[in-house]
Amino acid sequence: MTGIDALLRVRGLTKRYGRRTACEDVSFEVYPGEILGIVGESGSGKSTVLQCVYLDAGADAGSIRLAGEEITEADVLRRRWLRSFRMGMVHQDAARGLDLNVSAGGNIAERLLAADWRHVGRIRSRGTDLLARVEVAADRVDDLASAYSGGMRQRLQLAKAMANEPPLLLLDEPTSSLDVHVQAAILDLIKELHGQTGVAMVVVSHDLGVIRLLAQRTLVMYRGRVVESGVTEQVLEDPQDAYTQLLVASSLG
Amino acid sequence: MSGDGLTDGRDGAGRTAGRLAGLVARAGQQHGDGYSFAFLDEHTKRELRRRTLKAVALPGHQVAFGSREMPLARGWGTGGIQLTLSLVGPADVVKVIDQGDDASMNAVNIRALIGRTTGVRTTRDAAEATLIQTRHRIPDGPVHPAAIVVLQVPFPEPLRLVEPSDAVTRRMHAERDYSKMWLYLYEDIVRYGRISLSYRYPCMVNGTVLMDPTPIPRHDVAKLHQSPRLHLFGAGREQRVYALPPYTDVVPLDFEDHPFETERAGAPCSRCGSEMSFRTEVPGHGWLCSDTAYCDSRVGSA
Repeated sequence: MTGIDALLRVRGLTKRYGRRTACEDVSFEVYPGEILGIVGESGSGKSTVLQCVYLDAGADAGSIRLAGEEITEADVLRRRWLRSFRMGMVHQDAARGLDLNVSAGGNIAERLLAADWRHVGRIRSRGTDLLARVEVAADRVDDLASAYSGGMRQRLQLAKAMANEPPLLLLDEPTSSLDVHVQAAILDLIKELHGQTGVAMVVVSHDLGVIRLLAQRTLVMYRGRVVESGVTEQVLEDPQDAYTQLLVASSLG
Repeated sequence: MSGDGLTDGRDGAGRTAGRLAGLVARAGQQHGDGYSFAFLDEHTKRELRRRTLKAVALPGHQVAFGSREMPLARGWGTGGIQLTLSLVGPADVVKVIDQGDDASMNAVNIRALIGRTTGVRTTRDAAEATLIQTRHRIPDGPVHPAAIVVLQVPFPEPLRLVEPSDAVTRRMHAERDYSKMWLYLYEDIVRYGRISLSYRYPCMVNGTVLMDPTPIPRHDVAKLHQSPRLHLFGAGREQRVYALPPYTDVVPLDFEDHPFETERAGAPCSRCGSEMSFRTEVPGHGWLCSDTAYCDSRVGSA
């Protein structure tokens, strides 16, 4: 990887909630176009890491550089800009990423309007294009997001996150609330979008199957710390850390 | 006080009201009789003027003020009347408009209160008035070049439509984050094919602050942009004052393919023939000017 600058560089990230440490001294890089997996059990701090990167939570210590810019100190306006043009987020719970009382097209429009798009026709056709990319039929563009099924809401979140074509997508348990059949379809879609656009991704999941399918490199987190990292196959086939061994051994796959 | 009978439980409501009116009338004649010039005491007026100055310095920004109890029900123009009373001087000529009409009960009562407690001259002629208090309209004809226009405001917060919490709307203003309002307009167009807002049409002031122009028609919203006059907005119940100094940019939110449009009347005024005024359809009378003083002046001069 020499010669290529990391898109995202996290160094010594620490976040505490009161006396409880959610994550401690977490460091990793994401390079342009790659998919990094973060795996661990519930409460291991993997979602906290993502929230800190997305600037939903303020880090207590450490540095986060995105495209060369230190973002932990970004003011509100810069933060809004970063969250629209530099990164997009897909939440496990679609209600956090979407306004369910607004149409699907409107959800995407919100991002475009924030980017000063002021032409309804162009906003709508951009929305339809984005929905087509996530395989949602054009005639559903004006339907309320609340009328969308769980799988379609995740598709809509993806479309919204990509509206301004940020170089980085953050996916927090993107398929965990879906049934197995829909899960597979969404995972395929994520892989396909990655192939088409080359957008870099950080995928957080407790599901080794998801990580195995999507991630090129993987971090294993346990009790707020990174216990192992490396190429996904290596980490999952030949785990060195005792916890990772346990995690792999206990997975059904 | 017992001699006034105001607190006497045996007194009928009508008699009490009559006595109260008498008191107010007397106050107008002799200001030493418990009432100051223009009803409010000098400290209150000074405080209101201070708030107004701050509002003028920050066009479109809502400034909090300590709204007083007025001899007027909240929602009937208590914000407007406080601003008017804080500004009126002995040389002023005052006009009061309610929905384009100087003769509606609300307008008559407010005008009477101002007149009796100050002794200033009142008028229906906007070209003559130096101070105009109005609800839901801006005069259609010529307005005195130095007039201050005071608008009554029911809801000062333009973002109330999209966000119920004051804490959140304040943050949205601070961050200039108006995407929710834009989204509302987008959804409106997607649903109805056009922006369906007919009043309280949100406007950007000086390209920075979103402002509620009060329930004036869009016809009047268009008059605010680069207006040579000072417009003041008083919300008594919500305790906010905001202002547009002369020659301020006031731009209604719109889209390139759905530009802001004013209302179009179906016909010229059936009474005065005006094609420029804001007209409403009155069953049996066709389209009539909503600004009655303007309409009367045209009929009178014809």
